[in-house]
Amino acid sequence: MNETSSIELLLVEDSPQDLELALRALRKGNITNRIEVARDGAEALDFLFCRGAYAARSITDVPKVVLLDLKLPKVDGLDVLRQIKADPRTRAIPVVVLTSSREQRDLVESYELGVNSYIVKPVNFESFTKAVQDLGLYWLLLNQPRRVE
Amino acid sequence: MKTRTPTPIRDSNGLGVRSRLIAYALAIGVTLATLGLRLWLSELFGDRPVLVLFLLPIILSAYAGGLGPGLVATLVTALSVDYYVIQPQHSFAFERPADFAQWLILLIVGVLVSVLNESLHRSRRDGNTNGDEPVKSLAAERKVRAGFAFALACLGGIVIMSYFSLSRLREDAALLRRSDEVLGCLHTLMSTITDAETAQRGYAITGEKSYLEPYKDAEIAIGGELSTLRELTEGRSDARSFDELKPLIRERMDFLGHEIAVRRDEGFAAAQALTLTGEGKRLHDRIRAAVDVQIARELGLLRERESADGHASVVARGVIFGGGGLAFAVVAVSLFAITRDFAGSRRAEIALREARDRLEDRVRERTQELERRNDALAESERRYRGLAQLSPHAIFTIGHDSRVAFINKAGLKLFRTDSLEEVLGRSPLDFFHPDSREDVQRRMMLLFEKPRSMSLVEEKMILTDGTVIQAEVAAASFEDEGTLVIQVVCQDITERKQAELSVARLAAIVESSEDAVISKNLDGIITSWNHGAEVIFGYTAAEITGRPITTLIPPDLIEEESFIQSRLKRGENLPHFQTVRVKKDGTCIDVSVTISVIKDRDGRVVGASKVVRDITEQKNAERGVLHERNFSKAVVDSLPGVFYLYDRNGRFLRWNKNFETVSGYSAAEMAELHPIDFFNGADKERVASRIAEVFAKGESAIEASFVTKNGEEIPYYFTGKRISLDGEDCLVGVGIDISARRQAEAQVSELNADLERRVLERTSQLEAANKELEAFSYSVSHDLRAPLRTVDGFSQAVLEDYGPELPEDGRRYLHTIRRGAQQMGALIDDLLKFARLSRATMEFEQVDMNRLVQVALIDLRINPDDSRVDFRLGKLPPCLGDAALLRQVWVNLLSNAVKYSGRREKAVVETGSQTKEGATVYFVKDNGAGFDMRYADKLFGVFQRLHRAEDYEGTGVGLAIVQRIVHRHGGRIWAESEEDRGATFYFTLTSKEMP
Repeated sequence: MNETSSIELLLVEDSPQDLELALRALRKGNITNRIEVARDGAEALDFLFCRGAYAARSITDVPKVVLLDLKLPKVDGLDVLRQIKADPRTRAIPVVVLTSSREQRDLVESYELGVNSYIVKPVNFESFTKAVQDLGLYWLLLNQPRRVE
Repeated sequence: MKTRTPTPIRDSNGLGVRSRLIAYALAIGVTLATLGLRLWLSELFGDRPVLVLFLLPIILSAYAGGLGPGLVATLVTALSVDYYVIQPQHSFAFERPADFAQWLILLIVGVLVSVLNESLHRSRRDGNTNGDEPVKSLAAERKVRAGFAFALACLGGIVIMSYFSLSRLREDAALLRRSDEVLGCLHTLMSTITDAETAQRGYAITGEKSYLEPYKDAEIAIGGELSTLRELTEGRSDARSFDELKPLIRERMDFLGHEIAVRRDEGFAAAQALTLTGEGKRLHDRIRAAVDVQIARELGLLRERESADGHASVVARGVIFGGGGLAFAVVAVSLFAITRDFAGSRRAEIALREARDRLEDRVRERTQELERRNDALAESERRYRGLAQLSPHAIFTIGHDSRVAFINKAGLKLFRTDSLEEVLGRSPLDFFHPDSREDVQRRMMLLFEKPRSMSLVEEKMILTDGTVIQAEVAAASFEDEGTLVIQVVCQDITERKQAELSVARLAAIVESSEDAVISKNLDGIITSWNHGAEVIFGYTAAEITGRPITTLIPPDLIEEESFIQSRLKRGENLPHFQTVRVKKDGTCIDVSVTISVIKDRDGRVVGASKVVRDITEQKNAERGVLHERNFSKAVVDSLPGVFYLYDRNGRFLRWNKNFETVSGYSAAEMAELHPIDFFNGADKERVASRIAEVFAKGESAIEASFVTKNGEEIPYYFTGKRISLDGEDCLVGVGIDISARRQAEAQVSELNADLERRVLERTSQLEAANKELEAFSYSVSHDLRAPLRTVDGFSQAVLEDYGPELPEDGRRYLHTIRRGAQQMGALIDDLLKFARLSRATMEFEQVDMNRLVQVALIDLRINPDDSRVDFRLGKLPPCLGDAALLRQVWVNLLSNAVKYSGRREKAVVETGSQTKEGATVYFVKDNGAGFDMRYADKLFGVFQRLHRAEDYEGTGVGLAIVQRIVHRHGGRIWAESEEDRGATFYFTLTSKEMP
């Protein structure tokens, strides 16, 4: 519990390969602490709203940023985004969509739901690494999130 | 003159005093008026008195008023003329004797004229009082008096003129004498001066004093001569010209004196010198010239006077001889006239006496004859009255007093009375109608003028009982017992007139009739032919009269005539029958004929009268109506639908056969049915309202189900139109079976519905397919790239983590794997992009192409100023299109150009535009590898590449994308190139130029 209380980054990713690559990229960028991984939308929501396996968590202990894939089992990424932005307790959490989809439709809907950034995952690993590292740096280190008291 | 004698003068008593006063006033007035006229005309006449003007008022006054006014006029004239007209004016004196002579003559003539007119008046007055007997002696007496008066006037004139002529002659002789004296004086003066000069010269030469004697004499003489000359010319208008001589002579004498003094005091030489100056000679010449001028003038004056003298004596002679001769002639004529008058009156007296004797004899004879004739007349009158009484005509007599004096028995009968008292003594005008009275009166006056007879006239008369009749009247006037009486004969013609009138009327009717009225005798010969017959048959009356009636009958009907004749002979009329007759031009006409027999007074049939009416038109009209009826029946029966005609009450008047066939009702049943009976349910009301509409507005139509006898319902379209038949509104119309149309309509709507359903089906299918496609491309976009990323990512991880441990080939393989994965990723991206192009909606707007090129270069991370490629960017016109898509076009074309010219030492990429066939053509040109134009058609295909992958990387989708975008903008793209010589890509966006 103690561990979870200091979670700074929630990575929601179903693909184990992409997950490994993302974690590798973050690690390479020295962003290794307090990363929680959710493998589907439901798990991500449980974590954020302190339900199910994460019922012991305090809802006020929000991550600094959520990296969210859109194509997720159980609960779709856009649904997760919608629920985060619909709840006043979680609304302030910066959400970065990290997806393979270049569909305009997804992009437009994400922004309408209040996403903070939208990143298309490139095939090229170097580009991917760079994108993830940049994101991590920005949201974790530079950005001063609004504290929900 | 005699007939115009003014009335006031004729009566010397009674009104005479007043008229006399008027005559005097007239005399003074006229005289003064003439004086005014003369003074007004003064400028015209100058100082000549022209006294003859004043004779006019004197004569007028004397003529109008006799002696007194004449003398007054003369006196007033004489005084006023002397005072106002004759020179000197405003004085009674006379400047010229001639004026006095004129004045005197005027005075004498005035007195004479007055006397003469007085005598005329007197004799006229005498003549009037004594009757017309002394007219002749008056004329003679007047002639004598006038003659003597004129002679006296002439003599007086002669005496006066002679006196003046003589005194004038005497004056002229004195003047002539004086002129001679002046001439003598002038000559003496000249010789005196010459003497003085001669004396001076003698003294100058000799110096002897004795020579100076004549000079001294001259000195003395000259003064006397000059004063004599002055006396002679005293009072003359040229007297002053003589005065001019005096100083000249004085100067000459002084100069002579001066010369003498010089000779005496200074000697001969000085005198000679003075003489030699010529001064003396010049003075002498001037004097001589002046004297010569005077002499010449005096001589001219003398000649003038001599000729005037001669003229005056001629006038004097003319006056004496002319006047004397005239006076003599007048006296002689007067004497002749008197003598002749006396002789004439003597002869007339003798003739008159003889005539009176003869007249007395004849009066005696005539008296005896008249007595005899009176006896005969009395006898004749007695006989005449008897005759008059017997006459069947009305006879009456009008006496000189314009009253009826006699009337015979027939007259009384005509006037419808028994008593003579009712007629006799009355004015005949009482018996004439007011319309005729003026005419009768005029005629009576003519008859009373002298015996004459008047021709027969028709007059309207009024009888004693007030009846008006038309009468024929004749009249004559004759002398009866010394007076004119009028005999009138009259006859009542009222009945005859009426008979004439009715005959004329009948004739007019016959003549004006449009029907032919023809009469024929029993032999069938035409005897009369009216105007109507001429019009109908074309023959004139003259042509046809006398010809047989069969001329008018067509040959095939000729038997008709013998039938008619036989009927007529039995005295039977033929009431009208229709047949055919022939016209003059041979054409046949339909006629209606009525024939009546003509009988004489004894009831024998003598002929027949036919009335023929041309009924061709009527027949034609009947045929036309029949034809029309057949035609409309055929039309009605041949109508495809049902036809009906019914009245306001819904009673069927006509219908066609089809109506019966369709409805199944018989004709008898139809007559019992109402139009509404052919409908069911709601249709009944609808139809009824439309029928009402037809009768109200004229026409209407409706679709309704027609119900047949056996209950079948057939959809019909009915029309209705209002028509007026025999003044009653009816409805006529047709109904058409529209079941086929109804069916067709039903089919069409069914087909439409089917089609719509299929369209919807197809649409939803398409939508589903689209959705699938979207899901597919989404899946491609998401799922296909994930494994590639894994391949690439983990290859990289291997290289990073274990690179050093791997042999060279192993590392190379991993690199190749990564390249392949990345290539695949790019391909997927391009394919998705390409697929999206067809779906993307386009937003057309005005696009700045220059800006798009800049943006594209930024997208490509190229800075044109800082690049090893030489960018030559031309100015591009704007266009209408989707900015995002067009940006992609520029990105792809520019990246291609940069890519393929990358191997050049000096790469050049150029953008620009040109106008071709009205369209803007944009182009991107490079100097790179280019391509073989043989493969140009493959250039824009998906995955088509003209270069090997190891030479130039690429997916082979870029130009396909560009082409699709250009096509979606309605444009065209093409390329021109040569291998290794660069390539140019051209594109247009719309076939039309930008607005």
